[in-house]
Amino acid sequence: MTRTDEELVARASAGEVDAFNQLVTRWERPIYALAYRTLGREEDARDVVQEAFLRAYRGLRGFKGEAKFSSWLYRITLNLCRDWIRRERRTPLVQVPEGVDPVDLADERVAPQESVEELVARREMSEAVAKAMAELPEEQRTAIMLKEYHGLTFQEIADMLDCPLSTVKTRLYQGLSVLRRRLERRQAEEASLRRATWESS
Amino acid sequence: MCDERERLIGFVYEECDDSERQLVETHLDSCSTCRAEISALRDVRQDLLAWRVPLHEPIWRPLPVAAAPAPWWRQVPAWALAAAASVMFLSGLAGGALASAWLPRAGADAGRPAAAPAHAVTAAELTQTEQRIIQLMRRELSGIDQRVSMVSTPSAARVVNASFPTALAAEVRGLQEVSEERDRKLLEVITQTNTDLARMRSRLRDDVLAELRGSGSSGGGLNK
Repeated sequence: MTRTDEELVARASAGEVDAFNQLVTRWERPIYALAYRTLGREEDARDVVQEAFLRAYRGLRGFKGEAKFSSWLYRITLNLCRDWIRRERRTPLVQVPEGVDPVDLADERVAPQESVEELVARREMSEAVAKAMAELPEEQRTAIMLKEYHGLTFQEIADMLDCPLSTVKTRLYQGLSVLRRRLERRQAEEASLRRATWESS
Repeated sequence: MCDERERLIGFVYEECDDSERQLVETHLDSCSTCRAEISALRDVRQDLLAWRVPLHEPIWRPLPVAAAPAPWWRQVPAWALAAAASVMFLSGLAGGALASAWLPRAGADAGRPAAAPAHAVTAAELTQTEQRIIQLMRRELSGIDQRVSMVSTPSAARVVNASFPTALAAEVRGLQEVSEERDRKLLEVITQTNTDLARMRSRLRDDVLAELRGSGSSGGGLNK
């Protein structure tokens, strides 16, 4: 039987350790994804995830359930990421792998029929999005991440970021508009590069 | 509507009420600029899906789940078991002495109507007392077990939280208190048991002496 987050939180608060383990199993991936996309480095993201769950465990008795458990976890994670960035005095990084390893690519294949060319294109697109996102102002980046990758509602984002609903919509619109221009520019540059390569050959 | 494009966001994410959606749809019918804007926003959302997060091993090591509590008798300290065994031995000794005092008289008085003493202790009473003592110990231990379980469950979970000495110290203090309480309770039970047995022995002796005095017999009884 699958228990809801609320049930597991109640059990974990009463000292049932396995209930907390189940909550972690359920939420580790999304929390890691949020930390990774915010910080841009795997080791940092791992540290933040570890610390976020530790804080959640210690603060479980203080969690009154006004917000969803997941929203509470996201908030803890974002605060930790913010502290991390401030402490390290740096902007989010984008890890760009050197070269393309065909074995790694094969592991990333989402569909068996996906060709190597499609895989490479998808990987390049992933890097381009990561770079474009890293250049956005923090509040726009956070709003887009919470909406696009975690499916939060406008209201949930507003509550989490302590800002009005209209502000969330504005940040989303402005962030998406900037991303669109940057990605279009990149596509245009790639197209001209391909044309130049084709003409020279 | 072209001047407040943030309103399009609700439409793009399908997070607007029916009236607002109707309003936007009506506007899009006549505004090619906003139609292009909607299309571009949807395209960039599609591009965002390409951003992959690398696969990773589980980060959080599951907290150890407390094992099921051992049966109550396994949690009794050795000294308490030894004390309980002594108590049982003494009660057996008292029972044996009683039997040795009674049995010969039972033989000698054969054929004479038995005049049972008013407060004679029977084997059933002894068994009853024994059962009562065991129940008393079991109940006390069960109560202690529950408290131990309440304190020790979160403690097991905090094995990984070694970096938080304050929590750990509080936890150790809690366990220490429970352990002390458990010892104190056991001592109480054993003291109470000894008192019960002393009282029972005294009653037995009085009964036997009363019977001996009543019959004037010198058959093997307990000396005062």
